[in-house]
Amino acid sequence: MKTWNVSEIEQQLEDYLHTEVHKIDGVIGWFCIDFPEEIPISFGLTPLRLMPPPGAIIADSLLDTNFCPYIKANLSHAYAGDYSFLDGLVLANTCDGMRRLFDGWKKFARTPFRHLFDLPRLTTEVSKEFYRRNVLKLIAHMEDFFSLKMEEQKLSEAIRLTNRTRFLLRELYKIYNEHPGSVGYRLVQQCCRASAILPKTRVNKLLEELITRCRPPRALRTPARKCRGDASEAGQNNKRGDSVRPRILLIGNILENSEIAPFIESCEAQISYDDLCTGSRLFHDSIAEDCPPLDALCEHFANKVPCPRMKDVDRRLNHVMNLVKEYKIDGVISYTQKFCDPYLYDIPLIKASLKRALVPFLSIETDYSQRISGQLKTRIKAFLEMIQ
Amino acid sequence: MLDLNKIVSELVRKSLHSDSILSLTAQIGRHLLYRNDRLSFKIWIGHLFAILRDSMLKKKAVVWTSIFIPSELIYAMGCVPFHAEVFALVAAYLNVGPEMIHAGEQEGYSSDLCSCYRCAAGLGSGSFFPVPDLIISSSHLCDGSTAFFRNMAKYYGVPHLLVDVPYGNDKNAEDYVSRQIKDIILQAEEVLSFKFDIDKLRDVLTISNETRKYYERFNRLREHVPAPFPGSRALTYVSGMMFISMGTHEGYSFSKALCREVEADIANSRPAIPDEKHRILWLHQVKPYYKNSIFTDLKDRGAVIAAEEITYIYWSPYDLRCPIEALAGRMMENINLGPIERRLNAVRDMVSRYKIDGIIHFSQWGCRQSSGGAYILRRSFIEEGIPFLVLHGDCADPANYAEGQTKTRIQAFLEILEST
Amino acid sequence: MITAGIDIGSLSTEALIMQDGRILSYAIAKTGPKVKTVVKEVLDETLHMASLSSGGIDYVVATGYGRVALDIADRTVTEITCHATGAYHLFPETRLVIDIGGQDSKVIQLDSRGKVVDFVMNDKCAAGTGRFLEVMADALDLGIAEIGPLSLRSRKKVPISSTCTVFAESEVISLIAEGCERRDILRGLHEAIANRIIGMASKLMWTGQVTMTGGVAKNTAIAHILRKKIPLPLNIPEEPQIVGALGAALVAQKAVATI
Repeated sequence: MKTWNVSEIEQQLEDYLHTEVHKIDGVIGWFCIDFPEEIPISFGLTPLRLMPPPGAIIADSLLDTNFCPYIKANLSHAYAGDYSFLDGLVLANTCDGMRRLFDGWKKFARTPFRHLFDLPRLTTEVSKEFYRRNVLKLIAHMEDFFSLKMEEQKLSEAIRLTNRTRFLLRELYKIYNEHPGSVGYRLVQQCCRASAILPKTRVNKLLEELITRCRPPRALRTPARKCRGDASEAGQNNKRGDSVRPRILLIGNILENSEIAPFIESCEAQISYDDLCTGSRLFHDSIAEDCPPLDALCEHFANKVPCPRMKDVDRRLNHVMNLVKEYKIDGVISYTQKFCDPYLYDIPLIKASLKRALVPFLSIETDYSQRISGQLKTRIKAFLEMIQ
Repeated sequence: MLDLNKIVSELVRKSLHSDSILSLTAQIGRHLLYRNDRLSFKIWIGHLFAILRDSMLKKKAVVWTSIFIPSELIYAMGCVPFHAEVFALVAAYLNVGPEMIHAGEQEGYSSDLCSCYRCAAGLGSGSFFPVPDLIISSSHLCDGSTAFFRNMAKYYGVPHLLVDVPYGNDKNAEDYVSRQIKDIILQAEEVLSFKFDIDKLRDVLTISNETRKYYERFNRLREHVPAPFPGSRALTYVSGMMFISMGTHEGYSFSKALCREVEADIANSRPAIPDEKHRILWLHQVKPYYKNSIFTDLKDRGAVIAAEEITYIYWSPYDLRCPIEALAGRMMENINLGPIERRLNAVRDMVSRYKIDGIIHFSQWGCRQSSGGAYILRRSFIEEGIPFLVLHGDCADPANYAEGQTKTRIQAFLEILEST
Repeated sequence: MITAGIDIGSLSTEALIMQDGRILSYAIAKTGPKVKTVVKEVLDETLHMASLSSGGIDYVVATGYGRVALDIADRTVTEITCHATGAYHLFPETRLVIDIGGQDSKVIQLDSRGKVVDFVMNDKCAAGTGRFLEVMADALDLGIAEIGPLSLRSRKKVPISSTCTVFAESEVISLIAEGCERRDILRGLHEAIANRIIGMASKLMWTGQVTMTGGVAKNTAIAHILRKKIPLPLNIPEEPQIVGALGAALVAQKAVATI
């Protein structure tokens, strides 16, 4: 089975980020997956997840040293003018760091359209109503600033488009699980990255081609989604590709490091699934298509896999434990950006749950670098040896 | 007025959860009883003990609460509010911080997290804290607060009611917060089996409004040159009392006694420090509570903390016609919410009112919400010609207190002030 | 008026004697564990060189981390003020001082009168200090004086990603094993230190001239990189290690003039 070279995708992304995106009008930057990309897409604008190269130290003097490295990298690049091509920035109020990033961005960078998208921490009816009003606020601000008009029809189309991406990523993960040896995790990692950076129509084409190459041709029709947001289909495959290799679940937030996955695989372990902001959380839950789009967006926010910033920690723990069961996980590795309070408070609870289920757990807190250090290699290797 | 001796002996006489709690409360008594003979201080200790007594002896339903939930709400419910954060810092003051922080870290809490919560986690897991019947907390000012109380609710197996306070402060946001408070009252009624009396809330808010007047007066008195009341003390029991007693008679008596004492100090020319040369504004909610030399080093060179951010009265008097909305408004008027400009403007106000010569921003390790704004604030004030020191430190964990380095920074800052 | 400035650092101790704005003598010694003994030795040496007896000094100012233990000082002042004062004396257009010492580093902002207005310190972490370079020189089997010139001969940039001295050392060892040229590795290391310094300096205002002080100022590669990254004139004193003691002696002069 021929697979696509990871470097082909990486090259496409590089080209897009270095040249193409600078020529596009109406690029809207975003950070957290709670941002509904469907809004700018329906306006004909181009959303772009900001995943910069590791940042200079400048942000240490703008924020402080013990701050999320992902946030610092972004502010460093904004300060240096690397984001001057952005027409807009929508920052979701996901954490304390993000609030300070917004302050820093307003002061040190010059993005014309700036919007802070206020996000509830609860999923009660009252919170959903608040969320809905904030979406309307974002729409109104964009309409006003870009002189555009929101059309419900366009929003529904945008939802169908992003759902297609989600479906395709799910399919890709299925294939990855069917052939863990030949399709490295790095490929799915780069596909997820591409899905947040490249325009969705292009990503969908890329994924369709990739999936066709990896499988005999079959109709890739997106199944219809019902209003109450069904659970993902991604966990259907329970086959163990290789009974000797330990199956790892990767959880955490931002994983931009390209060396981690290949290293884990080189230690004869397999990353069976992930729960990352740069992984499955991008596509785990689709948005309903059979009800008004605004309602669908609100339901999606309330029902999707929760991030540790949400109050309802049990729902998140249940999700992680379900993944452990579904994918017959032998060990869990948590990979997070340092100084992330939501995750740091999450970890003791996850650890306790996993301990009760007798599943080994390794917690890695690190910076935004692309490389893996000798110390980290040793830790991971020792953990994998332990569970083999 | 509470009889301090009676309370202490009652506590010691009754067998509480374990020996460890007895020893902690006995320690509190021993350390704090002799400290100060001012009425305001006695009221503070008395109130602390009353909270401990009521919560440990389960005289009323115990509601753990965060410092930015208006305590008026809990008192109006007829419950005893237990402010885990405040008691964690009291424990740090009693030098049990390192032990409790270590215990908190044993529970899995990373040393990159705020030591106040690590200390509280250790105290909770060691059965030093009273077991809650319910936890009501707010999401402001930090992620740590939301997550800590959520985790503790899980640990104790009790419901966690969160007031999710948004970034914005428009009508939409106000509605959101008000509705949540209403829902929380309904849920609390169910969990604790009581009927909420809105008139009781009005009574409590009335006392709070009167108390607020005295705190405003206290702040006005502190504009006096030389400063009559040192910030190092305000950062312990004035802010402590403001968090835990608003709406109570003790809180009212405290604020009134405080004003009388400061008026007397001014009338009798008893300034906070002898030979005042520099008036400093202290930013951030806390200071190091374990033994440290910061304030004596400042005092030795004539520098006094004339004012601090945490005692700034940022909220308007409660409108009793719509008490729930008033509570929501109080929460949302916090200067540390929303964009940094809100905090910047409040700090400018403080600088002008208190005739501030220099600002010290205490950057607590693990605090992103406050420390993240320190350098942005600093740029503004340096540009305006006001010396601004970012002092990294820790409120409860002495492991993050580097004495020599702190001394050097403070001394260098003083040298800047002396040369202007 | 004859004054003395004594700078007691964790690695080296300097003493300097001044008279009416003129340097009479100075000496540098390794601090070691017996601070008081070293101070006496280095002070005696400077007295001898200036042909003075200890009674001939009108005022002594001590600075550096060891200043608190010294009883012969008439006054103690922080290194921040002393380095600023010394740098301003040597280069009156100085508005930024970059002091990279053995175990700490600082950037100091001055106004046009030479008064300290603001400062940023790094004394928690060895990265960005002379210690970093010492550790790396050792790992590369080179003397500390060799690393600057060798680094300047590099044609290829090998970036060092670790921000911590300990981890950077392991990274360097791996790079050597991979066959990287020492001069290229050194270039990466010097860039890493310089970036740290720039990071600190970015908290202050960039105006006037920059003066480097402290032992690491003698490293030609650091100076070269800083000149590229900071668009201001960069001054390096002939003996950058004594600027702290010089500043202390100047502070002493001012103090004795007002008595």
